Amino acid sequence: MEESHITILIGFLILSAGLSRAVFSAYEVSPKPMNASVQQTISISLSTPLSEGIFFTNTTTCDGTQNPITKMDGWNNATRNYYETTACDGNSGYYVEAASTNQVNVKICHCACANLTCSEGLCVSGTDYLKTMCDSEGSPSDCVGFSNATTQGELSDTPDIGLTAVDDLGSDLYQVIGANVSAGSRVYLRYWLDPFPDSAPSGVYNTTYKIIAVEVSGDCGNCAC
Amino acid sequence: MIKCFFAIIFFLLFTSSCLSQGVGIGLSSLYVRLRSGIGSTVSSTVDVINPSPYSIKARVYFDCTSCVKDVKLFGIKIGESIEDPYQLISLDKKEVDIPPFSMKKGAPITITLTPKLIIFKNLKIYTPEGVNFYVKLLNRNYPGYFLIPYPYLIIGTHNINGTLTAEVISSSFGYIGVRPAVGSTTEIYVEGMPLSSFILLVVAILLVLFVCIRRVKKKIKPKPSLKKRKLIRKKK
Repeated sequence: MEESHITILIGFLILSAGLSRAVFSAYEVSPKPMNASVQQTISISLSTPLSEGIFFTNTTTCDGTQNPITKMDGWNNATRNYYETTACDGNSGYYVEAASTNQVNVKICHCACANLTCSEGLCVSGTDYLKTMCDSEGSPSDCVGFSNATTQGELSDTPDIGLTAVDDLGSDLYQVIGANVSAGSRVYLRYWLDPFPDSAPSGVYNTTYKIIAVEVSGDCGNCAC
Repeated sequence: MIKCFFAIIFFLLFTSSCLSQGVGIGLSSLYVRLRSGIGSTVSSTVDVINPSPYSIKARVYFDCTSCVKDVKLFGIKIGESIEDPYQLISLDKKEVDIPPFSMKKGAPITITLTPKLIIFKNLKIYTPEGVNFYVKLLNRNYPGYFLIPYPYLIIGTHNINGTLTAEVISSSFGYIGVRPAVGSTTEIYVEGMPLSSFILLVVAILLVLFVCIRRVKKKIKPKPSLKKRKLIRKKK
């Protein structure tokens, strides 16, 4: 192929691109928009005890005070599992409420950012830990367990679900605790801890726990901590 | 007397319901969708609202759910391709303060999409455990993987999915043990270079290269061999 031919070909390509733009844009039909703006709000509120945090106490005591855990091979209550009562038969103090002003139902999810990690005491700060994530949702043990329901009466007195939040890629995801919560409704919760490893040194262990609400068909996403 | 009794009952009911409410947060939009082409910037504004009786400070961020993809070679995962969504989108504020009971008008957050033709992605390669041992002898903080940045040309429509999230980080309630958050489903569409334009560009580059090579070849004429040079001398 001659050099002059190639130069002509490049010129033709540029010219045809320019011409097609000029010709077709001249016959473009300008759209007549039909427009509407919709704004639907969603909001949630936590109960006062849940806003304060989840504090695990020794065994199944229900007096609302936090005592150091000595039972390492079984479930230990959170202090407000049975609110405003010293008997273990009261209502839970932990709930998430979908605002009555919500125009759509919401999905509510939760996650723990990491294991309960040592912050002070005889344990090594930042190294020693208590496991938060369970190996599976069903029949949890050696982790944080919880129960959830939309009414206080339906709320279980035993941890029937394990805290799990890891997908197949290894990144943390939120775990759904209320799949379809209507405006003004609540998701009641109770929490328990079965400490693992059993030989964890004495000390204070903590982590960040989050609750998120999205539109019912939305995705709670990654547990970005 | 009866009025007083009812007043006390109502007061107790009111205060008890107030006590039960903790920290809350909301968003004025459930769904954000931004679509734009090169050279055109679009934005959308979302209000962070507060249904609780406490003032709150909220952190706002985009949580991308489609930015990490597996990279496979013959069906075996060799690493991950990671994209930073903030190359294309930006938020005008990262933290906002919202007063109590701000349900109608909260703190506005503007999310802006600025399309680009070329973005940079990172290829995250995980090294085998056997190799990690030796690398950690030299660098104790080696995380077990390394990143290779590479440019990515957006051809056709590039889609980013995620959640625009507002999360309470502090409040007049006091110490927050559990952080409430709300998320708005967000879809970003960037219209990059059309496939036909890309093909045209490749053809044009190939033709230009062809012309250049031909010109260079013409300039570099091979010297005649020793035998030929002797023949020329003899003829002279």
